[in-house]
Amino acid sequence: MEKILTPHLGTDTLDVAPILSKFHDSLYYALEAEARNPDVVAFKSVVCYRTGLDISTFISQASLKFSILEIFKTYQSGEKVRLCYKALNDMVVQVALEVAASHDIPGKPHISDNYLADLDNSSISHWLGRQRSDAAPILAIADASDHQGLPKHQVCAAPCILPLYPGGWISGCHIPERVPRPRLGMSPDRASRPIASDCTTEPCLPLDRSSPWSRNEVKKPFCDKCSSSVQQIRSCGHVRPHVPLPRFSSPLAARNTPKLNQHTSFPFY
Amino acid sequence: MLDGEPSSVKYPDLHRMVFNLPAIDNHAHPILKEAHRDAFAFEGLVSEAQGVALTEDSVRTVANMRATKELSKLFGLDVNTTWEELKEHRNGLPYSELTGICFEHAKLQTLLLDDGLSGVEESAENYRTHDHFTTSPTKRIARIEVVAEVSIRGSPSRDESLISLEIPRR
Repeated sequence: MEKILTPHLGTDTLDVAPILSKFHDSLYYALEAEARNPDVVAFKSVVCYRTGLDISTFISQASLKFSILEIFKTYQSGEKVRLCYKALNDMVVQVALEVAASHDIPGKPHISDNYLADLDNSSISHWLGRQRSDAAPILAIADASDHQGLPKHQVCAAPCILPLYPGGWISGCHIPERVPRPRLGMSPDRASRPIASDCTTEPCLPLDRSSPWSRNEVKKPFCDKCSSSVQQIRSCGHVRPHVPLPRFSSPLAARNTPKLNQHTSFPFY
Repeated sequence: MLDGEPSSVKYPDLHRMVFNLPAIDNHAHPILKEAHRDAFAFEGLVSEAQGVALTEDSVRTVANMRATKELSKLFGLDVNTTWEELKEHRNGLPYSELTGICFEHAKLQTLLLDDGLSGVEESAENYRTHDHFTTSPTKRIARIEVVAEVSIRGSPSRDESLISLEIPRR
């Protein structure tokens, strides 16, 4: 890419199409090489630090070209270029997941403390839902060391990924009761032995009501039968009595919230 | 609790499984090279604070008190060891011995290592180095943004990176 960009330095014109094509091909072959490496067991993306799981799978060429132009401007000014343009980031994730699927290795979006944006029909969760069930599994990382005290992100990751993607596997998080348990049983690496997960069977942890995500989330349909929201579900009668409901933090709730051990381990076979 | 006494626990089978089943650390990052062993304040173990808040204030937190108690046990020190005494003892340990102690008690079967953090090549060990501390060989998790970065730069080296998605870890 440097070779392609250099002739354009100091000019007002930039033909972005070949740059984009070159970048795509270069990225694809680089990821292919990584996937063929027997020591590589998964792909990981930190794109969620920027956009959560709101990763578009319908990326407009115009947006991609704009991203390239922005990189070109930064490159021209001699500053450090950052891969911080959504269209380009989305493309990188999409290419990586395609390569991961073809080599049967997991793609691992690192769930960060960015709130999940409202996912539309072009988002990655819908895209994953259309994939073959035997495609590469998605392993959402939400490890306890990064996110202690921020369980809401782990909570929101599970219902977004697991029901849609049979190969889903969540690490280090508390799985809501409505997520089918058998989907937690696969080993995300190539090891022939079972993997010990630090998942617990606890339902949703207390959510921070002060966050914009929580305020919106409590209003969304939660019950699978009548679409009652989390706030209304106690009175709808469709939830099994033994299924604990999500709890929301308040001074009163905080006193009643049991202490959870995020390092409790259960083997899944 | 590092391992506890099996005879005193309520569910001995569960206790035995939890504390003896080899684990796979499925989201690890490489350990620092010996020359960089003091590159980060040790108090970062228990707090995400920075500056004085980390080095002076965090040592009075409950998390630090708990860490002091557990690490004292790990290093075979007296139960009344203070945080400063603990750090002094740790600093006096040869790096290989220190690393070995920590890995041994963690009972890790293997690591799935993300070595794509910025600065890793300069300050951290190669992923194969970790094989000495685990039962099975270490495996890598390829960070796709780093692969993309290399693709744009057109060089296999990660030095002088032009593009980075790196955001300081929380």
